[in-house]
Amino acid sequence: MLKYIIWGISFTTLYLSLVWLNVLYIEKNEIRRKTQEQPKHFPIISILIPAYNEGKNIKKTINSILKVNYPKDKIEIIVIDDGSEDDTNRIIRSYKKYGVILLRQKNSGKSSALNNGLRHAKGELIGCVDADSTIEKDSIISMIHNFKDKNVGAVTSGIYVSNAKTTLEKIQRLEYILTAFIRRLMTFLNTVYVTPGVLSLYRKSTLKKLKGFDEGNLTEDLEIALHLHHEGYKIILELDSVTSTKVPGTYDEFKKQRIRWSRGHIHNTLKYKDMLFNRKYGLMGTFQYPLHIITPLILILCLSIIIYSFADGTYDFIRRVIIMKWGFIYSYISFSNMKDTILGLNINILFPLLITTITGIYMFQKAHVYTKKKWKHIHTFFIFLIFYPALLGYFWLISITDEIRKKERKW
Amino acid sequence: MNKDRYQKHIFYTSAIIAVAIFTAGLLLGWTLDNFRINNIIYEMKQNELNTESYLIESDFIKSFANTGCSMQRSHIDKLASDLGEIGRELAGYEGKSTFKKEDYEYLTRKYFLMEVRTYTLFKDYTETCGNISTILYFYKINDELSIRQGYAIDEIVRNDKNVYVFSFDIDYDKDPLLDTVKIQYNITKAPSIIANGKLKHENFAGVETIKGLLRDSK
Repeated sequence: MLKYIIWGISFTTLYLSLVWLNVLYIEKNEIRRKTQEQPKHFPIISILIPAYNEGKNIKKTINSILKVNYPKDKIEIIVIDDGSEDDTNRIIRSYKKYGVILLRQKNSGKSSALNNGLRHAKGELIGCVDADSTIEKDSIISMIHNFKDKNVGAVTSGIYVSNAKTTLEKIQRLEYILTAFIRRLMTFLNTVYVTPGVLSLYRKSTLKKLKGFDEGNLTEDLEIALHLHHEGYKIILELDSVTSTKVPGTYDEFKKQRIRWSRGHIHNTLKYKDMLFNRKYGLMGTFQYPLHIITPLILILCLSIIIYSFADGTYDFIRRVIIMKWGFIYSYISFSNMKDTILGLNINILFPLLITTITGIYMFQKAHVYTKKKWKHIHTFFIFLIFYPALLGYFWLISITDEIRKKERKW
Repeated sequence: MNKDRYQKHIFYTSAIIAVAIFTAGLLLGWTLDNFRINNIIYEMKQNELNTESYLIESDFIKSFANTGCSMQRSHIDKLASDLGEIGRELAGYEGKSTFKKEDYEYLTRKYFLMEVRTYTLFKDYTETCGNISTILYFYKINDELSIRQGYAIDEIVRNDKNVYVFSFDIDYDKDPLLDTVKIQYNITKAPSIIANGKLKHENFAGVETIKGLLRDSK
């Protein structure tokens, strides 16, 4: 049974890797094609920054936006203070001289804050930026050429980790590099399924048509992206647009964030379930949406395999110690020659797993090349490959249980 | 290439390559299985040859010498260790096989027959020379008590080089000879052990219990 589960996981991941390798091969010249021409028309952009108790980060965020390479009279910065209890409000007020607009509201959530900002925004394009993120100088200007296509509803940026110090943060750094690259590849299949709050640009007219962000939604960035697809809009990830965000550094923060994401994922996948296998929505319906269901299943299976192997190994170890006393040491020692080692290989499983791992490593390599990031912290790569899927599987399991039990959805 | 064809191209070629890689894996597995089976067949043939050699040696000693025990001991030692190795390989390889179930069934049957024959040789040797012990071990596959029993027996064998073990799957029903062995010792459940062909113990027996059985059955 275990053999067939491993085969199933291995085949699915290999197939997906090959799909992305195929896209990479066909679109290799388009992935990082920089538009040489300067935009003739600079649309007014309203940047909305929802903030709740972001006193430690907000300064850096606003400063990074003030420095962007874009005509200053064409950019409007609106910070929506969502009922902060720290010094966020005071800090934002100090930026009034730079034209930063402050909106205050009772604490009612990120989507509500964004909708509040949207009502006051003058821009033709709306940019959403998280209060703990920073954007690079050319991040906005490199995005706007994508709006030439009338069907484009949103453009999002490549997000990278700004605080890779702990092992957990270093692992997430790797994850974000791969994610940015894969989402860029998704652009060519029109399957980008999320417009992260770190930096995404929308047409205001489109957002108005969609009646803004879904208030109370745990992952409003996923909801709005699925909504855009549902209404027939395209979403593009622009790799030339670079942004950085702070990722959770402790296990508890990380767990909280991922469970929120997973629960939002479940909720929103169900909300737009009519897209599943629906050809009307192109590959979003026939490829990406099924993956929304398959991916958590694979992660949970990875977790189950690791738990089963660990529990089985531990139980067997205890059994040997009890029965054999110190003799258990000898029971683990066996000397094999080359012939026995080769004949003992479980090649049916090892071969596809090996190929899957090689394609995975190749994708990581390409992700580093195309995102222009350096390989760092190699040891975290192995943790990422072996344990990270199981950890995410664990969070998925909790999220599914919480959803079934209808546990209150909290930010 | 238009968009629709381009997308179909991506998904179809990826599927074809993924299936090709899996097929290659299965083919490699199949090839390796052939090597494994050939390897076991070779080792079995060697063991048969060694058995024949041992029998001829026994006849020779009976005819021309009076004290052949020490000469035969090294020979019988090799028979047992080679057979043990074949058993371990067979169990390990069978679990990894996808296509060669019938071949492994044949080899398993042959292996059990070789075990019974070697056990008989050991019995004869013990009667003449008397300085070794044998354990007949009846187990059930994937049975918790049988697994524990296996570890206890491993520990006995590790500490006492004069103990030889012959293990049989109690549920194996492809050969009437094994039924005869089970009837001979009235084996009805697993794990069961027979010490020196005399004392029977049903259910799990710990290291000390087995030591006691071997002592009492001498």
